[in-house]
Amino acid sequence: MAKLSVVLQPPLDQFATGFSGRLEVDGETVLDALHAAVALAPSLAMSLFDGDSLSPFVHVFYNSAYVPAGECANHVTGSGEICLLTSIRGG
Amino acid sequence: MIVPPEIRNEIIAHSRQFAPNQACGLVLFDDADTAREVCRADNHGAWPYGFQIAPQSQFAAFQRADRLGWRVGGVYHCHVVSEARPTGRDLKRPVPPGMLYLIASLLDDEAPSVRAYLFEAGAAREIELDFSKPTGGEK
Repeated sequence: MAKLSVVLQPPLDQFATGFSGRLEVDGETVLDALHAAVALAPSLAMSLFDGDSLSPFVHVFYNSAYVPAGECANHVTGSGEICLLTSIRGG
Repeated sequence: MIVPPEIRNEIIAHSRQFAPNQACGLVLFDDADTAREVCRADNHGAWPYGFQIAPQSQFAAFQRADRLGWRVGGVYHCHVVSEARPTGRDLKRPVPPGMLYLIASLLDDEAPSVRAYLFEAGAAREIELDFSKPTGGEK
C-alpha cells in the first residue's frame, strides 16, 4: 500500500476544509486514493465521481503525469503525489 | 483587479495567432490581484466555437503559479467572430467563483477588445478592469 498525497487545486480545495488542499492517504491505485480522499472529505464525492465513475470534469495527475480516467484503476508504482484539477471549457 | 496592457496584448496576440480557432489560456495573478503572466494553453480539440484547456496545459500553469507564489486567477479565450460576451456554452460550465473570465473578441480586427467577467450564481457579471497600470517588479 503506497503513501499518497492528494493535492486539490482550487476550487476542489474548498470541499476539504481543514486539509489545506492536501490529503494524505494510502492506496494501491489512483482510484483507491481518490476513494480514500472522499472518505476523509465526503464533500469531495460530488465533484470527483459521477455515480461509480470518475467525473469527466476532473483531470488526474500522478507524479506530474496525466492519468486518463480509464487508467485510474492501474496500480501506482510507489509513493507520490496525485494532483486533481477541474476541467475548464467554454466557448 | 489589474490587467496590465502587456497581459491584454498577449491575450490578443495569442488570439490572432490561433484564429480561426479559439485561443485559450490561463492568467497568473499575484497577491495584489495584478495579472503577472499569461500561460498559453492548448485548446483540446481546437475549433472555432469552443475551447477546452488541455489537462497538461492546466497542470503546468498551476505548477508554475505554485512555484512563483502566485495563483491561477483567470481564464481567457477568444471569440473570433462575435462580441466578447459569455455565450450559453460559457455559462453552461462556469469557472470557479472568484476566477476572472476574460474574453477577447476579434470581431473588429482594427480594435480587438478584451472584457472580463465573474460568474456568480449562474450568471456572468462584467468587471471593469484597469488596463493601464504597469506590472510590478520582476519575479
